Amino acid sequence: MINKIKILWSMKSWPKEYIKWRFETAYPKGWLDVVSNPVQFLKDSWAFISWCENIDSSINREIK
Amino acid sequence: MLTFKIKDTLFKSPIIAASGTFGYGNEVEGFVDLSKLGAVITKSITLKPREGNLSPRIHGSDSGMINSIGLANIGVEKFCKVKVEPLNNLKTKYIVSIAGSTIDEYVEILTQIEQSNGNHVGYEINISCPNVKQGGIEFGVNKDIVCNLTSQLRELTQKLLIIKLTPNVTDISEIALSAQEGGADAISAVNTFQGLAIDYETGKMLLSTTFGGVSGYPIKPLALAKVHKIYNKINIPIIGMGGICSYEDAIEFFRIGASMVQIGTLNYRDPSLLVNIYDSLKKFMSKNNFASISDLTGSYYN
Repeated sequence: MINKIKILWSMKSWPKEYIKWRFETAYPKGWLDVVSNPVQFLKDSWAFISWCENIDSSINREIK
Repeated sequence: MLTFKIKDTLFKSPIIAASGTFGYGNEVEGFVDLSKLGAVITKSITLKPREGNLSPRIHGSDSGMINSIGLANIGVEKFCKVKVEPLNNLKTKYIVSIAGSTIDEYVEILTQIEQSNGNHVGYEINISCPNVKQGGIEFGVNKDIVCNLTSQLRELTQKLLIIKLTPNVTDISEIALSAQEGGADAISAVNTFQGLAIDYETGKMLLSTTFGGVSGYPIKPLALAKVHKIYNKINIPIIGMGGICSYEDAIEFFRIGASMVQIGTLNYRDPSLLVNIYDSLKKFMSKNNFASISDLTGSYYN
């Protein structure tokens, strides 16, 4: 869990424009889909953070 | 040391941010040092705006990814209106990726972008799209269509023309050769491999479109093999891609024949990781007395 929080924290410098683009990439209606399906969004976010953990372990990345 | 020239265009770094993984390019400014990238490739631009496929359209798979985003983008008209100006101010070069469903569409998109005031150095032609006039088969699987498309686009621009190949073909080197014959300046290899993801407990398909494109670290050996096959067949530069997650991976691509590399899936983890790869690559080159990327390209033995 601590690792997941660290991963989230490492994304703190992502600009709004970039986050908006990420939502538009993941969902056909971008922000709108996030707001209208919050449970699905939370599930997807959890899966994404878990995926980040996998990536970090395969590239031996230390999260600061 | 890390510069590379394609035709008349000098790239200050051999590392390129792959299409569809870096926004249109301007979204990452401010938190990624773009001066360490040779170029950014925009999301693929189509003639009309597209929302893309239904969700779910991205599935993280171990340390790779499978996606069927479906070319979600704002369309060429809006791209020229709202994206060209911010992209012109990027601290690196940019290349516009274009995708069509007919040859006429590719021609129309490229023509419209040519008429904009863009400072882009070239185009990457995404040929992994269904050709609606040929029963929906991908442009990139037929060497005659690839040659025809490339030569038609070649007549329309003096900027770099880079053909991005699909690996889902019997002989990728034949397709690369036909792109070269059509007038391409470079080859990007490779796009994603076709794949599928399913929940073993419920039997539910994990992408709305059933099939998607597999990318990321697991495809690296497959991509290396494709790039090497192309290297032995053509004499224009290859921009290698497929699963690069570190400077060591990038060097493997250089050694088997790539002159530049694109990094894609890793950007979904953190786009600023590209800068680390650049810094590490530079250190490796100095430490091992490689004067240029060209010294690394094709430096392999059996």
